[in-house]
Amino acid sequence: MSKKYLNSEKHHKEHSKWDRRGFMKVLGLAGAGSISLGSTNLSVLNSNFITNALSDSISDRVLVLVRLKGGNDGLNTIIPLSQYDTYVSKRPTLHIPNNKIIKLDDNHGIPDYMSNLMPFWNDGKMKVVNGVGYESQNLSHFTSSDYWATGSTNKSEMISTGWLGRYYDEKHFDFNVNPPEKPIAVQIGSNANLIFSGAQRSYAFAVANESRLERVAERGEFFGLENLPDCTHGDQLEYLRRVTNTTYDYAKVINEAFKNSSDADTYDNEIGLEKQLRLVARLIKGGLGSKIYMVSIGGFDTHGNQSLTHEVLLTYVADAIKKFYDDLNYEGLDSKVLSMTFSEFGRRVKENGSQGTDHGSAAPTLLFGPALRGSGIIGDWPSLDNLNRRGNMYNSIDFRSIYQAILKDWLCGDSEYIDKAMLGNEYDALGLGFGCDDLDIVDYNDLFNYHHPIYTNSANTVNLNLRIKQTHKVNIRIYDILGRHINTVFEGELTNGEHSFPLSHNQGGKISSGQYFYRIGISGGQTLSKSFVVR
Amino acid sequence: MYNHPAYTFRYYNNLQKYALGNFKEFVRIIGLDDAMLMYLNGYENKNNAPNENYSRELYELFTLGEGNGYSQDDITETARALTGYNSRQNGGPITFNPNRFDNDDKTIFGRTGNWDYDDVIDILFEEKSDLISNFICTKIYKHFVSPNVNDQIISELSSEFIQNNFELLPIFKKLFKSEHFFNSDASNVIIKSPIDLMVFIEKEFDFIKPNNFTASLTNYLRARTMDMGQQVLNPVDVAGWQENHDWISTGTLPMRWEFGDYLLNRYYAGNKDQFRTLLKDMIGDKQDNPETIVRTVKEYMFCNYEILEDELNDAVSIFKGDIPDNYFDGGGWTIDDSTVPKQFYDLLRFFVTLPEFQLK
Repeated sequence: MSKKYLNSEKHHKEHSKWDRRGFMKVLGLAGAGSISLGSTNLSVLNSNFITNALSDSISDRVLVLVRLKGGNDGLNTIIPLSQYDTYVSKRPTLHIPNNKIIKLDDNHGIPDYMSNLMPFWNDGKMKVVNGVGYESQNLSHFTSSDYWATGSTNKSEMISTGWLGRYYDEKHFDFNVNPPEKPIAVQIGSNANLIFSGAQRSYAFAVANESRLERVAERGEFFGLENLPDCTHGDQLEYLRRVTNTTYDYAKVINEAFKNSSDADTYDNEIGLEKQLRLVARLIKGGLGSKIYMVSIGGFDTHGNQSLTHEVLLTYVADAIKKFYDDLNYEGLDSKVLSMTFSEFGRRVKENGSQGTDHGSAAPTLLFGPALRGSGIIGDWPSLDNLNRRGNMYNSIDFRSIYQAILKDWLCGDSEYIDKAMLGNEYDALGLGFGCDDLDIVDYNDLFNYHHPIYTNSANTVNLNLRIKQTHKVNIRIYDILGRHINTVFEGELTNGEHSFPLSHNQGGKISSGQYFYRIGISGGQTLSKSFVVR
Repeated sequence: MYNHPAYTFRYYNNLQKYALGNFKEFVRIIGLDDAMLMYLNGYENKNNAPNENYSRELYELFTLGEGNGYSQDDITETARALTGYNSRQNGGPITFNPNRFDNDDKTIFGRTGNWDYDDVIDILFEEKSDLISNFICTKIYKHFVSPNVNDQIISELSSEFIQNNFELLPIFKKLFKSEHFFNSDASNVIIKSPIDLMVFIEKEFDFIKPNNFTASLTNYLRARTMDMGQQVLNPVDVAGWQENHDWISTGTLPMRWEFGDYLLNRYYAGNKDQFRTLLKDMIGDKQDNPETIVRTVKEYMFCNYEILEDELNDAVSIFKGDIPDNYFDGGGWTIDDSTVPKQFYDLLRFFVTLPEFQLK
C-alpha cells in the first residue's frame, strides 16, 4: 500500500519559527480551495493556485542541486592520495602538489584553495561519493547532461522527461486541479535542462539567471511596467503585462518569502553562484517551501590552461557553499537543507597538450549538510591505471544510486513514484546518513483500509472500491487529465465499511476512454487521489 | 449557432458571400437567413404577436449602435414591418406567410406607410446612411487596425463607404493600402484572438506535423481555441466576441501559454530538424553569434518593436542553453550543431509566453 504523508498541525506548530505566517495562509487557502474546486469546470488555473496541503508539506526538507556545467575535473577536486604517483605522472603540469593538499583521510585530499570545505568535513557535514558516473560514458556535454537529467543512459531511447519531473508527475498527477501554491522547484539557469521536465510541464519555476530571480523576488511580478512607449502599443502591452503579473502567482509567493527574510552579511559577490545561493537561502528562510532548488555555475570545460581557471572555480564553489550554510545555520535551518554537486562528466586522467584536460568519465559527487550525520567517503576511487580505450576511468558508482537515495531517504517518496522516476529500474540507494524515520508525519490513508479503481469486464466501466474505517464526511469527484471536473460521484456521510462507486459521467453510466483521476475529499481539507485509465 | 446543419450551412454561406460584398444587401439577406430567423425570434414575429428581438438588434448591434438614431417606437414599428416569416415545413427553409404579415401602416424613422421587410432595409439605409457608415467603419477599424479609433480616418472611410453605395471591398482596399495601416501607431496593437493565435503558430512557423498528430490536431485546435474563448461560428452572444482585452484574463492567459508550448512541443517531438531549417530561414547569413540570432528571431516575431532588455538577455541565455560559453568564442559552435534545434525550440517556447506575443 502506498503511503502519503502530511504535516500535522502539531508538527507545524513545533516549527512555528520556521514560517508561521506561511502556515496560516496555507490553512486559509486550503479551505477556500476545496470550495472553489467544486464549482469550477474550467481549467483550474482560473482559480489561481489552490493550496493542496498534501502535496507540498510532507516535510520542510530541501534539496539544493549545484550543477557544475562543462564537466568538472574530479581528479583535481578530490585527489586520490592512494594513487598519487600515477596521478602525478599522468598530470605532470596540472596535478595538485603535496604541499597544497588538505587531507580528508589517508586516501583522499582536497586542494588547499577549497579549505572552506574543511569545517563541513570536520563537523560531519560532508560526504564524498567516489567515481560517480555510468557505463559507456558519452563524451558530449549535451548527451551526457541529458543522461544525468533524464536518468536514462540509453542513447537509442529518447527520453524527454527528467528524473525529478517524472517523480512529480506521479506525485502531482492532479496538478491541473490542485497546483501547489508554491513552486515545487526553483531553477536558476540551465533552462534547457530536462531534470524537472514532466510529461506535460516542468515542475520548476525556472529563471534564466540569478538577476531575473532577484527581480521577481523583489518586485513580486514578472514584467516591469516602467518605460512603456506612450502609444496604443504601449497601452496594450501594459495591460498584457499586468495580467501576466497577476497570473504568475508564484512571483508573488516568491516575493513574500523574499520579504519575510533578509540577507545575511556573509556574502560579498554580487554575481554567479554565490548570489544564486544567497537568493536560495533567502527564499528558504522566508518560508517559500519549495522542495528543490537548482543552481548552476559554468566554466568547468577546462580544455586549456586549467590550473588557474579550475582553482578560481573551486575556490568560488567552496566559498559559496560555506557562506550558504553559515547563513542557513544562523537561522537554524541548515539541518533541513541537503546540497549536492553534480556535473555531466569528469575529465580525462591524462592531461592534454594545452595544460588542460579533455572530456572524461566518472568523478566524485559532493554532498553537504548536517543531515548527512557524519562525514565520509563512499566508494573507491576508480583505478587510474585500468582505463578504457579513450583513457577514461570506469565508474564505481552509478549516479542513479544517489538519485534513488535522495528520493527514498531524503524526499521520502512513495515507492511507486520512485519507480517511475527511475524508469522502472531499481538502483541500490546509497546510505548517505539521512532517512525518513525521524519525520513527524501522519498517514491520512489511515482512515481507509483501501481505495482503488476496479476495472470491470464490461467496457468503459470502472468502479471505485473502498473501505473506510469509521463513518466520515467525504466527497468523491472525478476529473479528467486537464483537470476538468467530470462528475461528483458521492457527497455526504460515508458509513464505515466497504463501498463501491461507478466512476462515470453520471450515476451508473459509462465513461469514455482516457485518463482520469478520482479525488476523495475528506472533511478537514484533506484529499486522497489516484489516477485511472479507461480503455 | 442554431443547431440545424442546413441552416448552419446557409448562414455560413451567406457570411462568405457577403463578407466582401455589399453591406446593405448583406443586412437584407441576413435578416431572412433561417438561422437568424430562429436565433432572434423572427420566426415568432407575427402580426397578432409581434416580437421585437430582431428589430432591436438590427439597429443596436448590426447597423447603428446602441441608442444611436432610433427610438423604442422605431423598434416596435419595425418589428411589425418584419412580420410574416413564420412558415416552414419539416424543418425546411422559412418562408413568407402573407396571413401572418401586419398589413397596417407603420411609422419608421418618421416615414409612414404599409412597410414590409424590404422597405425597412431601404428606409434604414436612406435615412441613416451616415450613422451606419460610421458605425460599420469603426467596427472594421477596431477589428483590423487598432482599438484606439482615429476619427479622421473613420470619417474619410465613412464617406467613401457611402459614395460606394456600401460596397465593402473598396473600403477594405482603401484601408489596407493606406499609409495609416502601415503606420507604427497601428501595428502590434491588437490582441490576438484565439484563432489569430492558432493561425500565427500554424502558419508563420508552418511546422511539419507528426503523423500521429494530424488526425487529432483539428480537434485539438478546436477544443483549445474554445477553451480560450472562441468557438468558431458560435460567438458568446448575439453581440459577438468583444475582442481586445476581453480575450485576456488570468484564466485564458495560461491557456495561451500552454497552447503555444504544447504545439511547439509536438512539432519538436515529431521532427526536431525542422527547427533548424526554420531558424536558418529566419536568420539567413546572420549566423555568427547568439545575440544577433536572438535579435533577428525577435524581429521576426515582434516586428521592430523592442522587447524589454531584460527579456532579450534572458532570451539570449535561453538560446545559449547548456552550451559552455567558450563554444561561442571562435567558431566552436555553429548553426549546424546538433544542439541547435533544441536551442531554437527553447527560444520559441520563451517567446510565445511573452506578453508581446499576444499582440499582432
